[in-house]
Amino acid sequence: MRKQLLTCRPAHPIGVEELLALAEREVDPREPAALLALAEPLYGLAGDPALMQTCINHSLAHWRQGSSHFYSSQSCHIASRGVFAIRINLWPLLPADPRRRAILADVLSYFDYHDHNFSFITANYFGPGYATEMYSYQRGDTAVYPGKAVDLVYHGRHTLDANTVLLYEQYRDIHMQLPPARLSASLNLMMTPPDAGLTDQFYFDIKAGRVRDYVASASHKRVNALGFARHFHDGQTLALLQEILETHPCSRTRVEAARVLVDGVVGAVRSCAMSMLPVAWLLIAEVRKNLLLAVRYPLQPLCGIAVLLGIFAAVALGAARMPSLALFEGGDNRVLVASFVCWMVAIGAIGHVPGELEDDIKAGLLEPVFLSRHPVGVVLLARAMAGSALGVLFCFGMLAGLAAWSGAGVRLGWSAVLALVLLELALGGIGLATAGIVILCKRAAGFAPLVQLGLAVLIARGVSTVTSDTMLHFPIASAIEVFGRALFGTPLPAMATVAATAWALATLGASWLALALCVRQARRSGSLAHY
Amino acid sequence: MTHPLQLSGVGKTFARREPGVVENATLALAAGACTAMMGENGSGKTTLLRLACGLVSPDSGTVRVFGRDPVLDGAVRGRLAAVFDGARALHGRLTPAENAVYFARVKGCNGGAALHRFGALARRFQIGRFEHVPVRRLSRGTQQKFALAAALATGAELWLFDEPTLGMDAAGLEIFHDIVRSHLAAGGAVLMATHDEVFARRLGGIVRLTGAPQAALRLQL
Repeated sequence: MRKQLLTCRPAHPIGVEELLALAEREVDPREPAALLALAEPLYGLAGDPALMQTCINHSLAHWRQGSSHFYSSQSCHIASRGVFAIRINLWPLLPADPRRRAILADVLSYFDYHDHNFSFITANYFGPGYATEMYSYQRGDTAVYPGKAVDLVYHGRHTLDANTVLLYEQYRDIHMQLPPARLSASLNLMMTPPDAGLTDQFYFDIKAGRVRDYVASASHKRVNALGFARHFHDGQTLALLQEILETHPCSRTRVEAARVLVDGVVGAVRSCAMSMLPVAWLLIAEVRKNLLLAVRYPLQPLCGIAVLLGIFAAVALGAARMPSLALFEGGDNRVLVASFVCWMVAIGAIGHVPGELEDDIKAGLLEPVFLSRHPVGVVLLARAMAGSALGVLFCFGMLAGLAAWSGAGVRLGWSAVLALVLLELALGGIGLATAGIVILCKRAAGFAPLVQLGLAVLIARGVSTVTSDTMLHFPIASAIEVFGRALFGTPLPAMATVAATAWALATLGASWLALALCVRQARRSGSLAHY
Repeated sequence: MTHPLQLSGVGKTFARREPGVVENATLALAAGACTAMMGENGSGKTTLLRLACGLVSPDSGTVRVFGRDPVLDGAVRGRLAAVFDGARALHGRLTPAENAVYFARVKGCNGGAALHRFGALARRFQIGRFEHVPVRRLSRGTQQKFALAAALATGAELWLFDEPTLGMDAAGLEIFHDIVRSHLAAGGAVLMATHDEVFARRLGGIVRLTGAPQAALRLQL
């Protein structure tokens, strides 16, 4: 705050337009303190009673058009040019009625310490003028918010009497007005830089040395408007919020934009999680059912495993053209291990779904699969994953034992997991397609073991290339090769991994399509009506 | 007005050279209504039920459940429950309670809520003591009751039954009648195929299927 005392008005006071032109000419908007150079011309203008009278008459004459200089209950706009504006502020007495007294005191900021988001000089226009307690602080570039501690400097009590011109600097001076003894008015020359309306004014708790609250202003409306974006938003809204977050001069607005964005992201994640929840529960239900059946009737899965191991030994090892003796005595044990894992995954992913569907058909339990909220493919994929999960769990237990027994250096890093996922996708896809054929033609259920047998050959071929540089061009074999190499830490070109991923996804996509076509045809042909 | 179930000019033929199983069937089932379809074996009752829930696609006409196509709309499939053969609607090696949770999850429903409703229905049917006995050890009638309870535990609004009273004793029949009545009073809808005319009459309207596909089948309820 700066203060200038003037004792006599100039003989030839300048007019409103002249003062504004002078301000534009003389004052650098980046130097608010320079406003004080215009104290004398403003003081001269404050001696013109016609200023207020003209505004009052204009408002009375144009009330039908709603045209008025009085833009608030306190302020009368006189004129403006560029970043400068002239206004008259009224400072009425407070009414005796406590309710009205409180409302008016709030509107006029009587007794409330506040700062400004624009700079101005002010002169007494009439009446004894208000008294004011002055402080200052440094806002700087840091964000200001309610509750923030600030360093306050006291500048004393002053009265805007007939000889005084005061300067209030934006983001620096804090003051509160005390009601004058009689109705008074002040004449202000304000400098409102372009972003003045985009930044905040604050109330202060002087005793606590803290920012108390926002002054109700445009930022209230902005924040409220941003609040609507929390409920109604699209891609463009989010991009605009991001821009506001990065560029808006008002920290409160930036914070609100960030909140809305975070809420949007959290909401999207929650919504996605909630939509996935029934699928997760479906998967859990399938695993639980398999576990219950395995625990309650253990003989069946054990017999199944024994048969699988027998088939594996006969087909996989034979197709790999490796003498079994060599495998265990100085031969390449990795082939055995990789083949074993791949085979177990294949059985789980491919055999489980068609097998279960066949059982469902026999037991008359096919309808629930088709009356689910989930697409048929999702239900069957959950079954495939549940089947494979148990297969993989069993398989890794066996793997550990086999590795210890055969001395193979098995590594289970992220690439092995990736390869397993690829295998699961590709093989699970084939399982879905097979299931589609079973749905369409019940007798095709007997066809599933043949698919598994074919896969055994492919697996053996795929695994046999683990140690060579040859890349197989079959989707399954490619995935198996990636898995085999990952399992033993053999370097694999990035392209080979990409190719295996592409093969796996293509297999899954093609199989999903085949399943959809089979289900559609089954609904048409009545395969779901007669079985 | 959106009906729980609406069939418009539905026709279905399973083999090209055979006559149509259903021809030009039009049916509108209102909320709070129970309709029983009666007719000779092979008259198309079960096929109509399967058409209604989207298990079979119509050759002509449209099927709408709550205004949506049940084949394409998973959410609307969640609003219907169907029991076709009560003796073969549950996993024999699982208990009825395990079946209820499993099928609720497959349907995409809340398993806990379904189990709660299932328990209440089982107690109402007076078979609560068999909830944890493997299904295959239960009698035909008890299996039927549990199958109904498991399907209805999903909280569906539209119930579709094929011979729901088969194998059920007189007491069970009475309880089932009360359950259906409560459902209808709550604004639900029921379409069933049955040969039990007395039971059907007590619950609502009867539609007789002639089994003569040459004559257009038109059901307006």
